[in-house]
Amino acid sequence: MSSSPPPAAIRVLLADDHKIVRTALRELLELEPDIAVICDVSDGQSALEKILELSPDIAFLDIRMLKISGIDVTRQVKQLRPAVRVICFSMHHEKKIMEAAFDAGAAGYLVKSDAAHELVRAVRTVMAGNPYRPLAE
Amino acid sequence: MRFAISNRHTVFIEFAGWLSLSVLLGVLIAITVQSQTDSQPIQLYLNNMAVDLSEEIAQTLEDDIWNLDDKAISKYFCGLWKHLGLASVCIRTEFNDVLFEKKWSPEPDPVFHRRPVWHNGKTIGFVEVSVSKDRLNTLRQALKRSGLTSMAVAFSAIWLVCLVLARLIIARPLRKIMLGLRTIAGGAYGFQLAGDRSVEIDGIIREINALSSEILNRRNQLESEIAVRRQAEHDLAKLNAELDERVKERTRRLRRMAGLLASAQDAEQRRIAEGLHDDVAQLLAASRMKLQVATRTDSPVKAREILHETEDLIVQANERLRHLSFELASSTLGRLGLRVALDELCEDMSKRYGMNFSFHCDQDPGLLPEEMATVLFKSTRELLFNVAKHAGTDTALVFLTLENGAVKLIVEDHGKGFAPDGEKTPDPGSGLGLFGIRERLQDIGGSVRIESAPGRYSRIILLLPLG
Repeated sequence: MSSSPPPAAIRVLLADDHKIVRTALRELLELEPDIAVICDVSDGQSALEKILELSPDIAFLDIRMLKISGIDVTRQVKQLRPAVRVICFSMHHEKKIMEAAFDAGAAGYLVKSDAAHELVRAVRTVMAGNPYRPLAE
Repeated sequence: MRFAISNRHTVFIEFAGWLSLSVLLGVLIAITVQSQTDSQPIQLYLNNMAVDLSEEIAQTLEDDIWNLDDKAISKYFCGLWKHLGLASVCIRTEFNDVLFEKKWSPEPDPVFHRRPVWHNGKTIGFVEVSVSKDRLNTLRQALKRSGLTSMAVAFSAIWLVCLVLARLIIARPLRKIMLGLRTIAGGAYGFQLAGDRSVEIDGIIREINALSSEILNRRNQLESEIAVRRQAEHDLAKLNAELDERVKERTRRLRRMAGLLASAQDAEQRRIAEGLHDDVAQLLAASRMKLQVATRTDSPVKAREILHETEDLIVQANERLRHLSFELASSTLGRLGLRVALDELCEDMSKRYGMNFSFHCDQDPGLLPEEMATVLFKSTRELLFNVAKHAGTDTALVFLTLENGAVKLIVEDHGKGFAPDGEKTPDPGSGLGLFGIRERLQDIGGSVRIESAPGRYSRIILLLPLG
């Protein structure tokens, strides 16, 4: 599922195996006028293919996905499309998982339960070239 | 100081000793006998001489000696008289009407013997033989010497013969008996000695042979008893080993069971954790995001729509929580009993797995002890899970009743079935399956019976005695 973004918008790709989460994320991001969700997919393999195809500004990748995990996708994206900024997100608060995401090349890490308040801030922080870590860390 | 004497020398010395003893005893016996029969041989001697002379005269009658003159006759008989050592002889014979009477000894002697002269069955005269006193003494001495010697030799010979016979009759069999006893004592039980001509010795040998046979029988009996005892000991050791192995196997099973239970518990906890993470937490996170969207949207209609969606998400999260809670423990089971809990379980699992699990209860066992109810409830859930996963059918029946004081619970489906013998210990983490159900039921006194035919049906019957 994809749509044409406005010219100056921040192009975002969403990857999560829960449709309700993808929908909620999309609705939340689309409240921002300068952010456009260009694609959402349900597994890691599709996410990688779409990222290579669309080269979004930001890719939101759920760590736990079918076929390829979010961290593995991050690692390959940083090799093949280094310009794409990856924000990993998960239900887990564990520091080790977050560190694994950053080690793979993620620019930010977001906990899903805090996404309602931190999602947009994470996008803007990463777009500004800074790493984003959860506030509650 | 000891001398080595060979067996041959021993025999020789023994023989010489016995010979000396025999001679000594013979002499002693002869002296004794001679002293008691002193005068008898003289009379016998004279009698013999009279007999000889009368026979000689009878023979000479045929030779016409009667025609000889006295001198010639005297000469004829002289040598004879001298030979006989007679002191005097008196002959009076009448033959063919001729009287012949001769007497050669003017001095009569006190000791004489008369003997008739026979011819053709008639007495024709007599012979008198007499001996002088000196001659008589001489004869007595001679006779005494010769009689003593003869008697000594005779008694010695008899004694020696007796000894030899004694050795032959007694010593040899006794040696044979002794050797036989040594052979038997040496371990040749059952050894049989050859019989003997002597009745007494043969009787002893028979007794020894019987004893030897008895010893052999006892030994065989003893060996047989020992063999039986050893076999019993061996069997006992074998039984002990088997028992030990069974205990070890049981211990291994218990350890494996404990490991499986722990793994199953871990798996269940992991599954519940994943359920919480994958379902409930995602739903709540999405709900929160949607609420954020609702608060930020400008459109009241949109906001109301999002709030409805959020409410749906919260309802879903609540439902998932209820399922997870049900999986942890059925609150219905404790409050309303096994019958209601199983009914609820069938309904819940039917919805969850898209199956048609029906429940029937013939006799309600009522409120059971918690452990029994929990084991039956979890076993049923496991069996229904197996049906959903492996049976290849979407229909199964759960039947609860009471039978002979026991709770009887049947889970039956007409799916793929399986070979009951193929029941295997499950892999750790894959759930306990029939193995775990059987173990848990056996722990509380119950049992499991499996009736199944591959390709046709499977019927698992759980029996749990009450009380």
